[in-house]
This record gives sequence, structure tokens and C-alpha cells, in this order.
Amino acid sequence: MTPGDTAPDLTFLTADGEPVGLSVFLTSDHLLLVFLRHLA
Amino acid sequence: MAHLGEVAANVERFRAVGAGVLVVTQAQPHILSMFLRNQPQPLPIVCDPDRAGYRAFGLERTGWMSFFRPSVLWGYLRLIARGGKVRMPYTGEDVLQLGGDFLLDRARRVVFAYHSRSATDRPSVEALLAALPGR
Repeated sequence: MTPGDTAPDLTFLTADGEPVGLSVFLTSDHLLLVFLRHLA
Repeated sequence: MAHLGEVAANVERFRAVGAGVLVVTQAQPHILSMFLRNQPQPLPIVCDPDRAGYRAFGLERTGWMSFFRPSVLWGYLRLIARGGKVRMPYTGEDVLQLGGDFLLDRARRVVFAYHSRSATDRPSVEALLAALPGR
């Protein structure tokens, strides 16, 4: 994914195991999306 | 401080300029739940245990030998010098999976992309803030 591409509305899981879409978090002008290598 | 700590410590700076923050981990939900009980975070974290999002954003896996590159070793030394800890991944996490940082607009259009090239390669918070359109 590079600038200009449109990201798919991915489905993630919450800590409770419930599915949640990426678009749910697009409530501001921009969203910083950070993919971690691993927790901690 | 690891990348999550740096972003979490600056989350209000992003919000102040109109940017939300979402963190994605490859951990299983029960691992994230345990993590958040021990270390509550000021930002949302979601799980992508099958790493579909990592693949969709083009985030690669590194090789074992990459951990011995001087730049990577230096990155870990800097982390330790700043009081951070080098931790092993939780069960189910792929130690070779690399991360990345992306800025999206409301239409999910990518306006900034940073694919980590090694385990310790991350953009600074200042670089991420500077990458926001209009700044």
C-alpha cells in the first residue's frame, strides 16, 4: 500500500474477540494506522 | 521506549491536529486482553491474528540474519539506553513479521506509508506528525 492507494475496509478483532471494521475508526480527518511487530 | 510507547505518549498531539490513532497487533484477542489488563493504553488496539491487514498493506517478513545487522543491533541498544526492554513475542506472533505506519484520510486513501525495513526501523513521531497533510 503506497500513497494514493485506497485501503480495504479490513476487519480486525477487538480484545473481546468481536469483529470491528477499519472504517469504524475513521472518525477524524486522518487516521494513523500502526502495525506493530509484536506487543510490548 | 518501543514504538507503541512512543505513539501512545504522543496520542494527544495527533488528536490535536485531527488525526486518530489505531494500533494493530498480530496477537490473539486473549493475549491483547491480558496485555491491556497489565498495561492499559490511551489508544485503541485491535488484533489481526491471521495478518490479513499486514499482507494488504504490503508488510513483509524479515530474515533471522537481519537481527545481526549493525543498524538493528544499534536500534536495540538505543531502545535499552532509553529505558526500554527487548521482549520476546507472545505465543502466536511471528517474530519475523515487520510493522509499518500509515496515514489514511476519511476515504481510506493512503496519504503516507512507511514499511519497516528491519525489526527496529520505525519513523519518529515527529516524522509522522510532519507527514500529515497541511502541516
